[in-house]
Amino acid sequence: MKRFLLSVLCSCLLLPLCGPAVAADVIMCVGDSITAGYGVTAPYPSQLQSMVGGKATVVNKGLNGEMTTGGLSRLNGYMLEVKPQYVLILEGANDAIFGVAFSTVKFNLAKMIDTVRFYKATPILSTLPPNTRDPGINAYIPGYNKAIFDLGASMGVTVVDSYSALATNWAGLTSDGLHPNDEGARLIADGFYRVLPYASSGDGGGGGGGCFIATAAFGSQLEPQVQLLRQFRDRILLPHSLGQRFVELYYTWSPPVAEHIARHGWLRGLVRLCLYPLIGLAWCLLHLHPAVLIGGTLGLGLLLTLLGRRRPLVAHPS
Amino acid sequence: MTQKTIPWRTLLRLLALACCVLLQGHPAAAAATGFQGPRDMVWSASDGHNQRIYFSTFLNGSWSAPVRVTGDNGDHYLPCIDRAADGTRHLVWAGYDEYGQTIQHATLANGKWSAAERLPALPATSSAPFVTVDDRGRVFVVFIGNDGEDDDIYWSRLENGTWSESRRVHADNDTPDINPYVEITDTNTVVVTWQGYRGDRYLTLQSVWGGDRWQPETVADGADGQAEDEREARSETPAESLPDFVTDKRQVFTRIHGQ
Repeated sequence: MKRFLLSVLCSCLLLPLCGPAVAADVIMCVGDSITAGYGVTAPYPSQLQSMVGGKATVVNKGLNGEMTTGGLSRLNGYMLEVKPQYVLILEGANDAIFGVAFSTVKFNLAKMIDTVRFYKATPILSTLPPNTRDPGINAYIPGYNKAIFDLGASMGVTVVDSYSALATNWAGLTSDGLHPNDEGARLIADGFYRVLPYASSGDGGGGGGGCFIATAAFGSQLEPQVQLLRQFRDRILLPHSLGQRFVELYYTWSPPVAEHIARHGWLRGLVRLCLYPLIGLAWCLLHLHPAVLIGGTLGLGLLLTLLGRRRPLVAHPS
Repeated sequence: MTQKTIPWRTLLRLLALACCVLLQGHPAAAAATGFQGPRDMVWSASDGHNQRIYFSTFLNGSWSAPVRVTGDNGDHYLPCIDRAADGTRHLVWAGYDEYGQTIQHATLANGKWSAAERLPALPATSSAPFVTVDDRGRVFVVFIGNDGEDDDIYWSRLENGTWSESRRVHADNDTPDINPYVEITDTNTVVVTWQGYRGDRYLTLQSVWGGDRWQPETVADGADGQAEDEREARSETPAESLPDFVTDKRQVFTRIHGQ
């Protein structure tokens, strides 16, 4: 029995190497005219497509004038139509213009996150760009962005800070004070690209951490192993209440442990070794069809068990 | 009880839109889009320093020169106007200034605009006001109010020169209520319509003024609320038929009189 269990574990580690080729991911961008591309030749989803290349297909579902209420109403249909793995949400600028408070924006975005997770996709939020076209409203944008950050922290969702990326040179990055120009759109795309799992480690940046121990063990949250565990958290654990409770608990006790690990080289190596089975399991759960997963695991486990039985027969023929 | 007010408005809008499409490009298009009667238009536009509220009225086939109604240091958005039976105009808008987000009001009587006043005893933040005046000259204003938790629909009434205290239209709840508008129906009933999150979605909700309080909310025809559509429905003039002096067509409200 022990040998069988060991074999199953080994098969989890080996399956990623022999699993079927995975189709390119689909990234869906939802939002208002900033996403739709008002006033630009290349909206940020188009620029993101250039960045990810053939690794994913980017679908632009931006709609001019959309508020979070409309985004929420339409999202379910989009999820069924597009079937994305990632949903990038940059929405709320029109809510601010039309007097809808950030508490409502936060409420609607939370419902959108729930919807995205219901379909086992990963939501990624963005802060709102500045709005110097409407100075009275612009003063309130930081309040909306704080609500978005708070939401990301409470629901374990990566938040891309487009505001900070644009604000320092907003005059040169906007076409009318509200909408980014092509260069502004490129910066928004770049922010999203950096937190998606297609960026190479040399691209710098990164965000949406939370995998404290893995980050400490592998040295950077941009390491593919860390990004894979982050996807595992977002797509496997967080859609379920039990998983959410586990993640909350993990966030409570893991930072000091991670700090200790990061300070000791030998411990980092040991933790890396210990994490590999989990990484293998995470890969399988994320990339394999459940039937393939069960069949492959049992089959490989059985094979390894049989191979394990043969050896003593050869070694001790008598 | 469900109030069936939307089809009448929709019918008028469709008629106006059809006229507009037929007459597009014609010099007389603006005057001939089904609005030969008097109407008022208010809009928000920047004067280079602040966002101001402007007013113009359409009479005898042309729009009057725009009049700037607000001139303080605040920024003003989302204007809405209605006219009492004696011709007095009541204009409300959302003011963003050192007092925060408030609802402000001004009247036009005998060709002169009054000073702007803030509605008293507002929630912590208030925005998106809508106004209607009944046949007794009572001014009903509804708006989004927020006291630190969820957005709710509030109302206040100006009667005999005194504003009532702002109160919530609907029962207290833990979900957002947004995008209100108030109107007088053909049966002279005051009805508030808005979008509220109930159950697992936004619904279009309505409440009827019962004389001393708002009746419990009901789900309006069409059920699912699309905030943008409702927002657009507030303005009764298609953007393409607006006069050239309205350079910023994003926040324009027109009110047709005599319907």
